[in-house]
Amino acid sequence: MKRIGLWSLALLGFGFAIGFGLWAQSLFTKAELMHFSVNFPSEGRAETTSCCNVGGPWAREHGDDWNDYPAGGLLAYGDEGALVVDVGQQGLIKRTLQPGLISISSHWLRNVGTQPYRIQIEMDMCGLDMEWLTFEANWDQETQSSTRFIEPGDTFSMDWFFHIPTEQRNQATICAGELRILDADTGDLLTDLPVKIVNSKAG
Amino acid sequence: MSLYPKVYRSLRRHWLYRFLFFLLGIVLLYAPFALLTRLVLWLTGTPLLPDVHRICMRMPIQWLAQPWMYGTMIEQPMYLGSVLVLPLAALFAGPLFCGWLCPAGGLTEYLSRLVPPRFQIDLAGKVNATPIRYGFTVGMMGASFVGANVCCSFCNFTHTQNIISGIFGDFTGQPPRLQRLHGLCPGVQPGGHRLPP
Repeated sequence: MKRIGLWSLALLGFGFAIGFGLWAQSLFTKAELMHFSVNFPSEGRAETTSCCNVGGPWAREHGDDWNDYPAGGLLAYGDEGALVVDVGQQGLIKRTLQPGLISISSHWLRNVGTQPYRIQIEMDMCGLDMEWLTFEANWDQETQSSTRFIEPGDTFSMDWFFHIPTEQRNQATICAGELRILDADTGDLLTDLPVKIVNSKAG
Repeated sequence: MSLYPKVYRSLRRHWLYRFLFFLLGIVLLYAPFALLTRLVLWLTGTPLLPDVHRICMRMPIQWLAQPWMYGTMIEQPMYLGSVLVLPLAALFAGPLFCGWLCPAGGLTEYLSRLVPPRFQIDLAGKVNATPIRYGFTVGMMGASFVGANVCCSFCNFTHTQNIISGIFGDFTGQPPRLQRLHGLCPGVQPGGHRLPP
């Protein structure tokens, strides 16, 4: 009987972790602090490395013959090719305390090319008030460029915060913007990713 | 009549020592200080800014259930802290980190000390917390297999870093202020340092 009690408590702890983890992930993939990955270069803009040489999730999840990176990259969670943040699906706490601050994050701006790149990042978001955040030491915010070369397979990290004015929050499409990754040395576009902020509960 | 038991008085010196270690933990691991993290970043040549996220104590525990992440842990030794260094240290020094040095864990304990015991919810002796704790750990390790996220979404190290950053400001020299409410939304505070727009 005592053993059943112990296992019940363990199951309770286990269920607690899984339940809250699923809840967190449900917000994480559509409304709050969305994480995504971006691969550059893409769409034949430059030679790319086979997925299995890139390593990381690419080598794990794709076969040897796979060698195609979708435009804008593969999102860490959710659909490919576009990032859609739905403020209408924010959780209660976020909706109550901080509905106007949107953050998106990529710890995986990954070089899938065959040569090292120093990247320049452009985030075009309809003139929304925006802040950048990174834990990379080699970043020049003035030119919005990395000051180190990102080797093939290596990644760069960046987060963005957007402030949505109260009067815009109730629009079905708050902003249809775009993230662009460029070669900082040549100015060539390496990849782009549509970034949309919508409100599914507008109206 | 005092709200606090008399035994608290005899524990003051012990708590003072522990609080000093709490401060040491902040100085070693948390931005804007992060002296130990700076040292490790320098030794490993890692081009990242130092804050509590660099020596992550949570993700490696989850990765123990993901053998394909073992390579990442070996390539980036900072991830070995919670799965190798702390257990080894515990063999010789007991729970030195968790019991004395960890500001994220200490913060909640010290806050609870402010509340008189009669107003606290005390489950000691009523519920055996050990199986819950291990059940939770297994759930945290297995969460990713069912598409869930625990270690980053509910990161107490992040919350503590946010509070400390709010007190001290960040490396960009912006005035001290409470940072955003990441602690209240279930997502990862990615760490790092805010940049001018």
